[in-house]
Amino acid sequence: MKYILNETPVKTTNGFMINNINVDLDIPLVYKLNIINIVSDEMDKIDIDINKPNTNETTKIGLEDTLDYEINITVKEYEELKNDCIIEYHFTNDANKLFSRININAKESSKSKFIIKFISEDDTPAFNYLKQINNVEKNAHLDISIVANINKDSNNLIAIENNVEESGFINHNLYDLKGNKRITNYYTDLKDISSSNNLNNIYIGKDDSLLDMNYLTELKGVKTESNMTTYGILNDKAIKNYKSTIDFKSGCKKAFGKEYENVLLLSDNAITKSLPMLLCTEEDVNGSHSVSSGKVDNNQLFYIMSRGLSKSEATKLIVFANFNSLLKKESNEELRNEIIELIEKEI
Amino acid sequence: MKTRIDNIDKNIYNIKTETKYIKKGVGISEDVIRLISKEKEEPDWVLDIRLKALKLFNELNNPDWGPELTELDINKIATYIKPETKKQMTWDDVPNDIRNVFDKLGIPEAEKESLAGVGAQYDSEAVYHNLSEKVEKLGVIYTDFDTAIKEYPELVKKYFSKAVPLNDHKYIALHYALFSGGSFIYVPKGVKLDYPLQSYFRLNAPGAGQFEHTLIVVDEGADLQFIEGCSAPGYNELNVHAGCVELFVNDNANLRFSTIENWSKNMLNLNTKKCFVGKNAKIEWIMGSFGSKVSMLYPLSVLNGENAKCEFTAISFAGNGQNLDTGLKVIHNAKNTSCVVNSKSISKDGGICTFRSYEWVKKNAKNAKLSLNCESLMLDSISRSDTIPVNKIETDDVTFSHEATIGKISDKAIFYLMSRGLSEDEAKALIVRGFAEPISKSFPVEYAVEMNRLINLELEGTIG
Repeated sequence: MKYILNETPVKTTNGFMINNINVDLDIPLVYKLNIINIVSDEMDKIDIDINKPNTNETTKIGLEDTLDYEINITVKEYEELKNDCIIEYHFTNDANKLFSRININAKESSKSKFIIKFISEDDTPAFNYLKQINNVEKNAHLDISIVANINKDSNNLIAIENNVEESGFINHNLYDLKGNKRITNYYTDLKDISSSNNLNNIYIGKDDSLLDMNYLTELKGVKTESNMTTYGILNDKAIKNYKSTIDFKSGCKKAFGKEYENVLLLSDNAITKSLPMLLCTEEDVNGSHSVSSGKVDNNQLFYIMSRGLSKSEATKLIVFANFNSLLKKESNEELRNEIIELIEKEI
Repeated sequence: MKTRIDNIDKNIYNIKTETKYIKKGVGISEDVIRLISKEKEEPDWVLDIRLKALKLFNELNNPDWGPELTELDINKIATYIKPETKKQMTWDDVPNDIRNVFDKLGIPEAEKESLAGVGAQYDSEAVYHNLSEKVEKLGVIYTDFDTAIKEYPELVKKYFSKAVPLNDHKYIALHYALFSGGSFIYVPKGVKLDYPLQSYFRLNAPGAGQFEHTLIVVDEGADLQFIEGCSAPGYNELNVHAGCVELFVNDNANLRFSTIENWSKNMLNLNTKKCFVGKNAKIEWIMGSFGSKVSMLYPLSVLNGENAKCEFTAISFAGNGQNLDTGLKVIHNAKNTSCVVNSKSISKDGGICTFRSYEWVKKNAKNAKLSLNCESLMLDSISRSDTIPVNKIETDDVTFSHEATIGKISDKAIFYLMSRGLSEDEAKALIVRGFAEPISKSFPVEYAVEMNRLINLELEGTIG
């Protein structure tokens, strides 16, 4: 069935069809609910409850569906998780469709990290649709990594909404490495003084995959700060739409916003589209965006190959050099190694 | 602290004169179109284009993005106004009331000093066109568009509506239905003009529209600099400008197309410009947008030949009640093409500046290079400044970078200048002029002075 999804906050010329995405999605029926593992060795610091609400719900992506799971997590005031909390969803041939919601409430001055993984157990195409809502209270620090390790024919839709209060900070590391149709919507409301967000995204597009990313941060509070960085590679016949908006609202004096995208093109058949927007109604701000695209630099390739590496090894090295600035921001070493391994397999 | 002065008199641009008109068409209908065509004694093929465009105008919708245009009721606009004069070859023959306007705008003086030819349009019709004898001898054609249709029909037929099609958007259909006046320039192969040609478009009547068509062909190996000026006095009624510029820069040719636009602040400026660029050829766009209530203007360069180049340098200055939605479009359609963009905007007193770009590198455009740089300066917190660039890249063999920044005047810079004896207002004004300087120096000297004067006028009432 055809859907028009992921609309940008401001429309522009329709020539490149980037204001939204018109996509054909085949949403399978739910036969069996997925296996969910939640691992944390500090349960005294957090409250978790899981519901199966079976109600209809929509996200900022714009697709309405029946919610299968809802996980509510509260990190208690002034508590700091020493070890990361891991939430894993497993897709199998009889549990290949999931629409879940994860709400994380980081209470005042808490510090926590969550890792959310979607894992295909077999070759059955999965359909994953996650709604992820975070509320970050005063001085709280919330760090979330989301990994899509689903098989190549799967569809993955992720909608994130963040509300950040005074001096709160939220970080998202998104590893969008596998799958066929991948639609991501990210929204952050920096409503209070000195609240801030980081979004670090690594993607790999290959075969005939379609990636559509739509990011928006609204800076409302004084001295708010936003950094949204995306690095990606495109191979084969992959198509990628990158839409990112920093919106300086009136009153966000001394705010800082930066969005950056770098895409490395490994195929002459891949297509990249970008729309990095800066919207501003406040005088006293500092905003910037930059986008760069290109193929692997021949001089770099030649230099590395002259040191005895094959072309594919040299290319891999350049790709990792490209991703490195974001990979080093992953605080969980085990996850970082897992991601590196996944990237190696994918390229 | 800012000093505000309301209702600044825009001096020379705001000259209002009572002009006698002999024909007037209001709104858009087949009758109005037939009236225009009859007055101009046009051939049937031109009338056919007008009637096709009328049908398209009625079928097409307003764009669903960008500034709101619903306040425009074309049936309330005087769409064809013919002054009581014919086109003249000397300024002495131009009626006094019209000549006085152009005298005050400095056009005859500029012609004497630094131009190879001048065209002047007053409302819907050309009132003056002249080309220096020396340039004419080189085979250069520079005339108003109506004359070109009559005297050079084959050339006009070959190029007219070939760059900008009738169905491009609603307001280009409006243009083709009602077009009147404009310029036609043909620079023959290998001819390089040392001095620029200039066309000046003045819309003097209240509640009126101007729909001039500019068609320029710079043939193989030729060079041309063209300057376009536009202005209108301020009225309470809405005016509309839906002009069209079609440019053909053939192989190894160069064209520098400069515009200083200072429409009055009751003007909807819905202009369309497009350029085809051949092998080893270059188009340079230099644009200063200061006037109009609403502007939607995105010149398109189609780089069709190998090594074709585009340079785009622009500045917009939006004040109270203005919504300037401008930018550019580029299509890379051949190997080794390149494009460099440097755009600046200043918003103040509630003005809105939006920069839009649309960059498309097609699959065959191997080794294409694009570099875009946009800077926006906000002078207060009641204004708005948006940057909305889109790009689509279909080949891996490309070097593409886009950077944009937004910010206010640096406190440190103000402090430094004040420590050198300037007042705060003088320091701010100096910084704004410095911000615009890389653009103004791209204009020929006389026009750089003109642009700086416009910036000073805009700054008056806000700073200093």
